[in-house]
Amino acid sequence: MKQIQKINARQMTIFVIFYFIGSTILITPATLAAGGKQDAWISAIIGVIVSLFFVWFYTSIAKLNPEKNFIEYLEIVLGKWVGKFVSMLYILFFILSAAGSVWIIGDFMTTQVMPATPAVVFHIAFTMVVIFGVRWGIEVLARSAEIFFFWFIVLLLFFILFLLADIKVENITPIFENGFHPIVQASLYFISISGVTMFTFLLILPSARNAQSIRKTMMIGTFFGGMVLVVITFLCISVLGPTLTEYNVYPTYALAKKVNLGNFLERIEVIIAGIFMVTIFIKTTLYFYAIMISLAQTFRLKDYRPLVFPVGMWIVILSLVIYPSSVYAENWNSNVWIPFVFTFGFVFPIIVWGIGKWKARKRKEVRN
Amino acid sequence: MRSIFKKINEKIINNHSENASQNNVSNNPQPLHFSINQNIIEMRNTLGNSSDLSIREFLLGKNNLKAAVIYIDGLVNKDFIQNYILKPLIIEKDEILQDDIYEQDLFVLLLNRVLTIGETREVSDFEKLYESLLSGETILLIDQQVKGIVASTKGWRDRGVEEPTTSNVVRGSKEGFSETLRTNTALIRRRIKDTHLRIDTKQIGKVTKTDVAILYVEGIADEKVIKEVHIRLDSINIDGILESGYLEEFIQDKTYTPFPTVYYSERPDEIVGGILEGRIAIIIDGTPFVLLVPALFIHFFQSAEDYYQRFDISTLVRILRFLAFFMALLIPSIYIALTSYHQEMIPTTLLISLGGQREGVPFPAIVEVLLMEINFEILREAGLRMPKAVGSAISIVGALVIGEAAVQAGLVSAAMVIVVSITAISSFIFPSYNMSFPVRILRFIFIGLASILGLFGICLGLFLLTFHLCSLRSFGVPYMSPLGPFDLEDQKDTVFRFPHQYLFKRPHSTGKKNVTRLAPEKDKGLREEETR
Repeated sequence: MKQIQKINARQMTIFVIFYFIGSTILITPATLAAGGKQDAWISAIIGVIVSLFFVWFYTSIAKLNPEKNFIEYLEIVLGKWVGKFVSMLYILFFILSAAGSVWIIGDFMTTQVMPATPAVVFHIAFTMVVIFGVRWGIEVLARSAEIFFFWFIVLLLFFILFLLADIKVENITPIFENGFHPIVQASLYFISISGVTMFTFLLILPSARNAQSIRKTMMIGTFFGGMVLVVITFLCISVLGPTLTEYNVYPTYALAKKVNLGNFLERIEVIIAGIFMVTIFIKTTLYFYAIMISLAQTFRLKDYRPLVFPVGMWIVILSLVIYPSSVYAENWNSNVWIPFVFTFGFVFPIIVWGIGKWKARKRKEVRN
Repeated sequence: MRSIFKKINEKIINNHSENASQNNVSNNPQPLHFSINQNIIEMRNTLGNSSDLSIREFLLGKNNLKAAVIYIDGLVNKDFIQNYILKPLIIEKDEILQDDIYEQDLFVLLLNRVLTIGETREVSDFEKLYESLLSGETILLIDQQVKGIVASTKGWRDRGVEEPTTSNVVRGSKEGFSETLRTNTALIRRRIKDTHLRIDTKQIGKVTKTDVAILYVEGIADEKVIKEVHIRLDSINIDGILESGYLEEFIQDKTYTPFPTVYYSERPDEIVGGILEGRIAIIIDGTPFVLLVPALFIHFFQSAEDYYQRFDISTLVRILRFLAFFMALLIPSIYIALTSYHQEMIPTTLLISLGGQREGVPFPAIVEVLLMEINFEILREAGLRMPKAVGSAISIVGALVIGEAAVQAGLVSAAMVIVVSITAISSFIFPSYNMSFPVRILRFIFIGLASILGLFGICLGLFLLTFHLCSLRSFGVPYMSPLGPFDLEDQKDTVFRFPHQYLFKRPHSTGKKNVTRLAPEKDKGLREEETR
């Protein structure tokens, strides 16, 4: 499938920022605090730096063949049938990830905001909006993302501003109490959920209008998104303290409840919920878009639109059963997720990259 | 939903095309007859002996050639006909028409030396003749001639240039368009004294034959858009155009959207401002509302006065308008969401007071909101078209229904009255009236979403709204630009209004060519000298 609709560099950067922040903004401070304690924000910085390396790696794969998306490239490099098989695995991964994102929305809404409403309502409503977004195409999505971005920045700045007064420096001291090792270990999850999943952009990058600047675009986006996450993590640790951050499922949301300006401006967690909705929405939509691109590519479809609704229904069903409980999800995230995502985000890409490089060199030799 | 519309449409179109093929008239124009009597009988028959058809017959020249002056009473200036057509032809003819008249020379002679009227041309077939006659021109027919003379004597009762009623300004021109196309083009011509201003005219409507003029400045307006406007106007095949609203629906990009994608205004200065930005104006005869395309979302938040006032207050007012947009759209739904789902988000003291007010109210919040909102919409619609004498009665009753009395009767809470009032006032702030329609419609959708899903529903609704807005285009230009595809340069005149000396360029989204509108260095020297 040709990706005809094009988006410009700024729109791509905004996609990268939103995608990188994704669901991480709400959940990861807890995971980081579990390992890194009061040094969680340092883990976040390390995570961003390593993520930048991953992004650099992905863009070098994209640069091998800028017009073709990753699924197309898989078939070229691995041969038709092996390529198709791996493509199917990728489709499976994207579907699971999209369903996981929808599950997070459902879980967040039922546990934090509207406990009396059954989760399935949120799953269906959210997925419907995602379906609409994907059906409208990446161009409309990119323009919408630009408008969301304005609100995102405004809300985020308000959020940070309101919390500045509550920062307690004693919460982040002593620095490096437990040494360097747990900090690095804590950042692993951060990298796995934000950095490694960036390979989804290998499917979206062919839509970029100017292929030369993709590395710069991606790096800037990742850096900016990473900085947001570092600041949020820092605020969580310094305002809530490491222990509270660790034991909250959604520490950022708990953080928002802390805000109190003159007994008037309080309970502004709706702001953070808004930020969270936007980022996870874009992330889910991009996952969904990746599914559609891969499906269209693998099965040689001219247009993915007829498939959007059925796949959306799959995702709703899958999101209802994917994690039976929060405990299961926790277990899955800490034991299965990291090797799972590294298979798709590191092992396969590096094989493809290696073979691709080798083939390119061979071609050069033949030509010479 | 859309497919149903399409199916119905197709059915209607099919039926129509069958009918159309039956009454299709032959295209060959019928030439004039040799005998004037035959011509007059033919005209009488065709126009069905209408009482406003005036035919003045007389004898011309020494040969006593039979001639007739024909016009439609009420559409012509009778003084013109009297003084510049009939008088020279009947009284002063002898001085000029002394010798025998050669047939070929008669017309030349008349045009050159007798008829003292400004605009004349010849006509030789009935179709053209009727067209001129019915648009207020006078026809001169002479016996034994297969052609006639058309003299422009248009002149009818006109409202004249008055102050526009729909968009008032504190500062700025008080002129408004009128119903006559020529007056309107003149109002624009008076403001753009440039040779590049183009006025393309065409007739639309098989029965009404309404004159439509397309105005733009060549070299500023995008040719692709001009072409597109022509194509879209030419494809209209309807019996009549009575108002610019007809055209608006035909030429917009997407029919199924509550948002206007064509701008209209009654103010020449606003239209000229649009033309200078590279947009294209469409004037329709018979209505003071002139269309402007492409129209983007932000255009409906900008008023001509923004450019006449100081930039700082204009910027503030614009921000206020955007704020009002969101308030008019969301306040009732947020009230529902907060009171029925997220009580914890309301500050405690406010919550207690709200709870106290709602104690005696028998309805849930959603019913309360719908009751009041629908009531208000009814009042608004009733007040709009009532005779002025009844208007005051409506406002008194309205104040009772949406006001203290409703609260005292225990039907609604006092907070609800405030919510509805704020919403109502906010929806009146838009400088162009048609932006309040989508807000009015979507408000109810958001109320529905909020009552089902609370703030989550509102959030999803806003996502869908943003998608919808971003998917719209107006004549190929993305509707949300310069916000949607973001353009930093254009931000100078979007939500903010920078001082004029910083607005070097035309907006990118509409003015693709000749972008510089201001030479930045010119008046700098003078100012520096002054300060010295």
